[in-house]
Amino acid sequence: MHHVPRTTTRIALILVTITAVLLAGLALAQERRFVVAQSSSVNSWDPPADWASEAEWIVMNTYDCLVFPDRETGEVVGWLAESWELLDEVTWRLNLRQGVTFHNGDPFTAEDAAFSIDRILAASRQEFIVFDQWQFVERTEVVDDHTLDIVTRNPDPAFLSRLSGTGCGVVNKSYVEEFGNEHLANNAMGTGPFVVVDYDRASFVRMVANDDYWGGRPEIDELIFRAIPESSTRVAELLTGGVDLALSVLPQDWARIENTDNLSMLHYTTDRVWGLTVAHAPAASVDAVATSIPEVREAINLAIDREELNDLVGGFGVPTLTRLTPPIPCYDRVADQLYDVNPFDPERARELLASVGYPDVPGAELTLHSAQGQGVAHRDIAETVASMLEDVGFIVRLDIRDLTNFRETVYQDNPGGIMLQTLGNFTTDPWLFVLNYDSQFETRSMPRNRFSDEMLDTMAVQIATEMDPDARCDLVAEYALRVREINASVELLHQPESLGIRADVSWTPPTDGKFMMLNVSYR
Amino acid sequence: MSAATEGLRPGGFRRAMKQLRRSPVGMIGTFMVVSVVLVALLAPLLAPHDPGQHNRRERFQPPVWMDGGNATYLLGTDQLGRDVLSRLLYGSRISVAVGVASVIIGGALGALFGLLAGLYGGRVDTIISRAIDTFLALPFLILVLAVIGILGPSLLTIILVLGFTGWATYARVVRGETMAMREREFVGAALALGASRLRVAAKHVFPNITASVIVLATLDVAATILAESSLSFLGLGVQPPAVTWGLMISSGRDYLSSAWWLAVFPGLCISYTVLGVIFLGDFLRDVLDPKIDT
Amino acid sequence: MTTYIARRLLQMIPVLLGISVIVFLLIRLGGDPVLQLVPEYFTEEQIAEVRADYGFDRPIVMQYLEFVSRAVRGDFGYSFHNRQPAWDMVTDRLPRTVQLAVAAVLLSIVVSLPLGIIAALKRNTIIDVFVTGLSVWGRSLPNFWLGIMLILLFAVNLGWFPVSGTGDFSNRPFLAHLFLPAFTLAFGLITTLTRLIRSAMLEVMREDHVRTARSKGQRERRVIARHVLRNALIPVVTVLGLQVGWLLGGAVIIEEVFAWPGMGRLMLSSIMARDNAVVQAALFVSALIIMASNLLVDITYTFLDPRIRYA
Repeated sequence: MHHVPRTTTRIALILVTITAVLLAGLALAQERRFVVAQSSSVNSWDPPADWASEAEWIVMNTYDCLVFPDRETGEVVGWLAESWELLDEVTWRLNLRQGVTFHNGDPFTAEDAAFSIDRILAASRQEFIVFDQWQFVERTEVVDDHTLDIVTRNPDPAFLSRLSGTGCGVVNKSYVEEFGNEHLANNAMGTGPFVVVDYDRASFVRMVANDDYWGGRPEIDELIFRAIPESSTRVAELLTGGVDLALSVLPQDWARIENTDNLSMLHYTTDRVWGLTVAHAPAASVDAVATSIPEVREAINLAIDREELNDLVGGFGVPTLTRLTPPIPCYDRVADQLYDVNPFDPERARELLASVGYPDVPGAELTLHSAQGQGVAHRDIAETVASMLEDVGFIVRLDIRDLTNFRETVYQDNPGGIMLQTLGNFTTDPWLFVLNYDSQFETRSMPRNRFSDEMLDTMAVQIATEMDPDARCDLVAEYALRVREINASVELLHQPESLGIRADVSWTPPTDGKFMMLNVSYR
Repeated sequence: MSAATEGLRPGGFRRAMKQLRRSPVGMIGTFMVVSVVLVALLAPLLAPHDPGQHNRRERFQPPVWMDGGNATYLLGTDQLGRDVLSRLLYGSRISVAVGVASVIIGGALGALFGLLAGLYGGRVDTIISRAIDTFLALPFLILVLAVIGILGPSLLTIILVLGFTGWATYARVVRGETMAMREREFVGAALALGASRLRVAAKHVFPNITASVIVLATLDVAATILAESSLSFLGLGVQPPAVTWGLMISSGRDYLSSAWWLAVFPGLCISYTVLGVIFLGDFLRDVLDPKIDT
Repeated sequence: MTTYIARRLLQMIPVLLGISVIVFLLIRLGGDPVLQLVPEYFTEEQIAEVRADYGFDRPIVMQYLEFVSRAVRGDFGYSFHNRQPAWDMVTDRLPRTVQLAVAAVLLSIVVSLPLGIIAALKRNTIIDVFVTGLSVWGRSLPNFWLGIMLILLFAVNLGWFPVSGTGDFSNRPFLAHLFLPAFTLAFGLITTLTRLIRSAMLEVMREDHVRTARSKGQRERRVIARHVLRNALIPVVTVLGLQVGWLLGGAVIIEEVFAWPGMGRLMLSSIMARDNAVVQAALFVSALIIMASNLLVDITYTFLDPRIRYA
């Protein structure tokens, strides 16, 4: 060896290095990296800890649930649970998939499935925001490694839908027991199609394909989510090739994206509805609020030109008077009265206000609370609604806050009387829609509009246990009409999503409006 | 009596005007500042439309000289069909109000503490000087953002916070000048003769430092207007439906590629105003010639 | 020299104390910090529990001492939203901001030196008027607006630079990502420095030893390099030192405009979310940086100008 001239060795080494680098470069070039730009990022990697839509979308790319809505049909289908049967009125036996492993190699068993539900039940709403939504479970029983019994509190027609609800991601029991909840919040550990390798809460999440995914390895090798709050920046990144998919694109930019090679727009309706939460009684901090008067609430309902709001988002939304929107089962029973209708009647609104002596009523001055940075055109909708209310004679102050600030201040008690929100839903069953107006749930997701209606409360109980689908839909329809009649809340627009995407990949938006990247395929 | 303050005396007014006429920068600056202040005062008379009025059928109208523009909306309309020109006119009010009010607060506080430190010396001076050092070591904008984040944004908070955090620069300058003044014979003599410090301050020191404070304050108005627009842009300024230039840029940013006029015009307005103030400040500095380094 | 630095360090102690008081009092401006921390449905007992947990039930002086003793160890408590130590979050992001600030400083020197020198050498020519005019106009431009315009022009329309981010997930080099935000941040500095360098040049060129050197027939370039530049650098260093606070403030805005994941953006989102521990930590770190850079400037002086004594 000593006799080989040094220069030769060096040259050989250099050549080898160059070849290696080139090969590595080629391999890298073939890596399929897919970058998604949305307005916000994750808050916690613990599935039941957060229900903000965009955060949930990211988190659910790395976790699996026991059951999940099918992307094409919207039916609840088996996921980590392969099949199930109803043993008695309240006991569901789930047969779990075998050979599934967590990202750290631990095998998935019934213990993990049971633990994932039990820890929610044992917690509080402060700890897990979805706490209330899981109260339908009485207890879980592990039968063997791959068989789990779930006992519900009541006979539950919505069982499968609820089981696929927010927080359904199955966590690794031994991992959580060893490292604790706080660690899980910062370090995901699921069985899902993508493995989190790096993230920064404010700016990005980097995932790679799970090679051992039981459902088949995703076509994307590296999945990046970037948090870009401004629509203009998301669009600019898309146009210049910085990202492959940009969510929530404003109508003004659609043509530009369509006219760019290899980019196209995709429009679909989501599981969310823009609505006004109106206070039925004053908050503790104020003496009176005019929205306690039924006529005032009806005047709000009539003052709003929903078609015009739809114009703001480019026309792909649907004016609605209910959150029972398609494809939620039973929606068709009320669709002709409540969906795709625009009861805009400013004259009648003025008459109603005059009939109760507005503005000479206590609490006549209303505040419209709204957050900004909550999806496309949210702030524009807020400003337009305020202006429409003013047009019929309302005294409205507009109070727009940053999302976090909004959640921590006015969200809890809606002191000004009106709050603009987009609320999500589950498209596989109307149970969440019903839960929202059931005043027996202190902490329902519709924040403190402080109303209770005996009729609705009674019906909510009936709906929760009615096992006959047809009879249940009748009840749901009646419920929806009652919600509308008393203006429990004032719904505005079924929210569309308009996203720009690379044209050389195919990705179908799921029927539930959620956003998961397992089914991206390259053309 | 220094030549510096002569321009401030009643008799010096004519002289100041004469100097102004000889200085193109001064003339232009004065004109720009006066025009902005007039617009702010007369906005309701000048604005062709209500700045908050949504003309919802006429959203995204381009400025009049572009295809599709019309004379009803000279500078076009925004995403809610509001008249951009009227909003620009009204937007000047917040800028002027915050710029002037904050600087008066900061200048008054700073001058007061600077005078105290300079006149009394000793322990008073030590404490005030350390406080000045402390404030100068804090990043101004970050401090302002943090305080407003905690107190919540409103016109009054913003004026107060920008004012209270800006005092240190004035205090440093005034303290220095007061100290220098104490060395001067006539002040030293007055003090030796038993005149009260307050009297000395009012009679001898204050008139002599006014020039510095005025020049500092003018240039500070420019910085404050920029700071206010930054706050607005970041969402921590005066909240809608109030109209500010920073807010207009922030919301116009989303429509930049299709409706550039929404973000471009307010930026030009800020620049115009600040430039005017800077010109005026530079002119005043040249005329009043205070011994400070701005 | 050592004594000089030691003295300067000693002088920093009261300032540090002052900063700690301000940072400590900051979160108490908004009223009871416990009420800002807990959800509103908490009962009196629960609130009292949190109060005790965080030590807010003790006398304020004790709280302050506790705060200082922990801050010295870099312990600002946990981020309420992210369940991570606030200090770690800030120091994780700090390098990104430092990259931006350093690039801005370098860029501003590289751009303003030739501009300032040319303007001075070609005094009262159209070049001078143009450079001076531009530098005055530049002072009046809000940097967030400038950033937006630069993105529109150079990133969206011309495609020369990427739109945002640090390039971790793009095929373009890091420097391409760094350029626009660094330039936007540098812009204010460039205008200030150009004017300073120009006037410093003019002043020095009038000085005797420069005239002498010239009259001795030394080449113009050599004169400029040896005498003029060296003296002109002193005000530049001063301004750079004084502008560190301004740079950090500007970084908040620039990072927001360019989606640059630095300390400024963290600071802003923490302010919005009222995540006080992070705000306190970031403010403290910023103040430390400013003080350190001021010290650095003072030391640099002594090298640049032997006339300044250490005493």
